[in-house]
Amino acid sequence: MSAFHPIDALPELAAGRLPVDEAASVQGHVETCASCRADLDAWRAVAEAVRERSTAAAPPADLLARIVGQLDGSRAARWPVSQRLRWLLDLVVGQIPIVRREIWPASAMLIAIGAVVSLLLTGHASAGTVMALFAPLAAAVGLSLVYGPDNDPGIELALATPVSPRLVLVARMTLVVGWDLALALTCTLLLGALGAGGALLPLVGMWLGPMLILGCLCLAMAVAMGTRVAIAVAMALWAARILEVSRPSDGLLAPLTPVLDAIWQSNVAAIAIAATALAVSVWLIPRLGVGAALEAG
Amino acid sequence: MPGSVVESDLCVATIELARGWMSDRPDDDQAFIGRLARGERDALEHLYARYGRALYSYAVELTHDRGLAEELVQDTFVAAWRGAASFRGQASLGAWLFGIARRRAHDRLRRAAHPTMELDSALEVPDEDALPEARALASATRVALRDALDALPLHHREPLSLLLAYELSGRDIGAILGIPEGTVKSRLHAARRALRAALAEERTR
Repeated sequence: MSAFHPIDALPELAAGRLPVDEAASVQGHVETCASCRADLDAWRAVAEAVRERSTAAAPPADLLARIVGQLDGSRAARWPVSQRLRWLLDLVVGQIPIVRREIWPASAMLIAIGAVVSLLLTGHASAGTVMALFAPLAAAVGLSLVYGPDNDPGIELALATPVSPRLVLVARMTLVVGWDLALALTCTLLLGALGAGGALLPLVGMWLGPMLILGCLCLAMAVAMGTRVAIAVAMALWAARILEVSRPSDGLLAPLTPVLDAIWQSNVAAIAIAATALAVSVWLIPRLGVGAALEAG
Repeated sequence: MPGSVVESDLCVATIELARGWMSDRPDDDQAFIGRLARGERDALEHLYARYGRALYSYAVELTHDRGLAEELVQDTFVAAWRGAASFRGQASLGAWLFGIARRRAHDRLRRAAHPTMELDSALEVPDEDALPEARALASATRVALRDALDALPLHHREPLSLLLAYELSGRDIGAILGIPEGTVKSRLHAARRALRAALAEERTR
């Protein structure tokens, strides 16, 4: 019999909680020590009774469903803000591989052309006026391509996720507008550095409003009538705007002037118009139905 | 359909019960909690399959009230889902969940001034000779032992359940009860002495 009795290890041995090598050595001692053997037998008897007692109570079969129900009911309202923000960020970033890849170079090219034309026209037209023509066109093309059956190679993926198509639309819009904003802002800063811009804020103000309005209008048109219609309308409006800006005295485009003025504006109303167009797109999405989108695709 | 999910999870829970409830792999715990923090629904379902039944049984033990125990389990999983991002892996996943359940039980019972949670100041049972005590427990009938367990105050019964029924480690039990691991061991021995005393009392009755 060993002089040391591992009595503190016996309850854990009875519970099956001892690491294998320790269990073997304690077990070895127990076999040679009558008092430890009696002690272990006592722990085993207690363990059996405790286990029996604890397994007598089974939870109701619908408890998991109730937990899930409670989480669904309060998901949006009571998630910690940090977790919600992270989830939203993941959602936005997760759209990068899913949206059409042409969006990125197309936007970059249009905005770069705007910047080059601004430089070439220095002295003839203000950089703000030129950027106010090209930045909105970049957003219009990008957002026309953002959603819909003909633009969604990842539609199966989208169907497999529990995220609502509305949220996906807003996430993609955020991503594309974010990209266009970054590009346009970079070009504006460069123009400023090259002395072609003037004050930065008024310059940004000139293209920001039209960019949001034309972009969101195209999104709504793409959702409602398809990408081709959206791009065609955007190009027509854009051409009309160029004509109007370059030959203000013509009067040919007089009937279109209120529409063009409504799009090419930079004030609080611009944000309201863009927000309304976005709301219409979001509202239209589930009415189209994913099934319809698949059929059309 | 939620109903079928629950049923299949009950099957999983039964299998998990047979295997033992606890994981000894902290890396697994961390990966699992990461999935929970990202809001993956099936992570919650697996968590329930693994711990739901044990937590419910523990909650019944703490409250002596099945309805309240159901609410506690619900609270615990909702809290785990929402707080998964704050899990630091200092204790095991099991200890974390049991700790949440215990804190919530304390909160609720304190609010209701419930009589079943005793303070730790209950009578200590004198240390009698270990060998006769062990033999008396080993030879007691199962019914007598269960009755004696029922008669035991919670602060004695709780460490016994956490180790022997829910199979948590001494370290985890210490984390749940807020005491050092060494104290867990002395609590277990004190609980067994109290159980022996309760057995003797049953017999004289």
